[in-house]
Amino acid sequence: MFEILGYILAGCFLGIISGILPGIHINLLSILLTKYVPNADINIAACIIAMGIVHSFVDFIPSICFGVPQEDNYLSVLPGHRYFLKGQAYKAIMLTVTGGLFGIILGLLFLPLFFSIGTKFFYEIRKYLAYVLIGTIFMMVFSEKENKKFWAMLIVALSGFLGFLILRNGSSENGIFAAITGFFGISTLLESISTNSCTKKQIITEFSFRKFDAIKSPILSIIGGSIVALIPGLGSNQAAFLIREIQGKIKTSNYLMMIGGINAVNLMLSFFALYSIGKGRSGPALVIQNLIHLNSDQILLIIATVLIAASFGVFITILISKKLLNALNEVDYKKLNIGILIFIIFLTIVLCNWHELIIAGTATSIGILTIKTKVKRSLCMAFLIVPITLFYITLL
Amino acid sequence: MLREHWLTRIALGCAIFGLIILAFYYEKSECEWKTINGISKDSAGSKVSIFGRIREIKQYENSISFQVYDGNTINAVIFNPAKEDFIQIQDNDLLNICGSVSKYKGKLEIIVESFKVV
Repeated sequence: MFEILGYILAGCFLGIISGILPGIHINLLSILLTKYVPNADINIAACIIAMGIVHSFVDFIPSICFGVPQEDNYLSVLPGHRYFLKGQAYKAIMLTVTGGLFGIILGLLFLPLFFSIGTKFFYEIRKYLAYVLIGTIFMMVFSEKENKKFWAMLIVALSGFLGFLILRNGSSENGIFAAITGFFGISTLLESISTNSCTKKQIITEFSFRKFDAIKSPILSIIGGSIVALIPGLGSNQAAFLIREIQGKIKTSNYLMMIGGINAVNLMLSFFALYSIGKGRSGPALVIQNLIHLNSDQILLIIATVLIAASFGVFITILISKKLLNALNEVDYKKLNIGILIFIIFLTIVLCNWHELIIAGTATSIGILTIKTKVKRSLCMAFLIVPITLFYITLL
Repeated sequence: MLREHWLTRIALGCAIFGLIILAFYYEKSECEWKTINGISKDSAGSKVSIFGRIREIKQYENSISFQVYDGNTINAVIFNPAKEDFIQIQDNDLLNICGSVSKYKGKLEIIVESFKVV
């Protein structure tokens, strides 16, 4: 038992590294673990699960503090970064942590329902998804004010076309990274630097939350996380976007709690989906799928790993965010943004080939256009929603 | 309103509950050491751990079956093996096998859950 606890703790520490450092992804670390650790078996699977869960908590820190999005949380960047600029980054991070923890707890309680109803409706849900996504695209555009509808349509068209080019030959992981970096990272940083946006001093006060919000947001995140865990092609951000559009107005605090929950629940359920539908719906789950064949006894091991890793994720996120935010108060924000921008551009150049650099440049331009025309930044999500919609239309 | 310390208490509770489930999982999955001679029809359904040499390996698309010999012989089968399993198991290897005892066509066999080449 102590051996597997060691693997779980090792996974937790790897989750910190992948969560904090942009460009180092849990998919990459999962593959490296199976390649370089001999006799990989259920212990490595537990390590990967723990890494994924901790990553889902910690990766909100760079997105909220530095405006640096990662693949699975870029829709948190914008509301989260707004909190940062108001000096309330700690509150934003704690909202995502609360959503993640309660999402996992409620997700585990709803697990029998996920196994029975979720898998039965697996193929049914897919039939109607194209209609939902088409409706979402219309809602995205026509919810804008009259004078902005044209720009909204243009941005959806440009982003959607870019996404189609990226994904038409199969998923290009670095292409998606380049696009997200351009849409939500480089454009945000350039705007921050050019407008000399300044941030208030970060205040770390004791966080408090309403019991009702701590239940409501995780319930929404279980719905979103279940859909993402079962349906290929949909990510946490798309699920959060769909739920927000269907739900209507949602407070920023509840939105951050929900997205924190969706991130954690999606990853957790992707491991359970391995057992229920035999398919992995996340990178780490796919790696585990090739590693071992899960049986019913090992479900207990997954539950134990998720709970231990979630607890670790909460404590480590609180610790890191407090230390980091105190350090950030001593730093010139403009110089920090310039430093982060240089780092992200360097990372993009290192990781991407020349096609993907063009994608990043194009996405940055569209991102800047979105900011200047003051339409919803989430319109850029059309880069994933449009190709996915086309994919599901072909299934009809 | 709930305060931050409630969040940390709930997280701590999750960790403790996770450790309890982990202990229960190990209790349930522990294999009892036996020799092949000690495995009888009464052992059917229980989990055992045995040492022995591998003989007569037969590889199929979704399974690997072989005999384990320690003076006595018993059949063993690995269902849905990983790709590495096909390479790791060779004739005459000394293996430590953990699995559940079951009956197949009137004979006892072990459905392998984990193994290590010694």
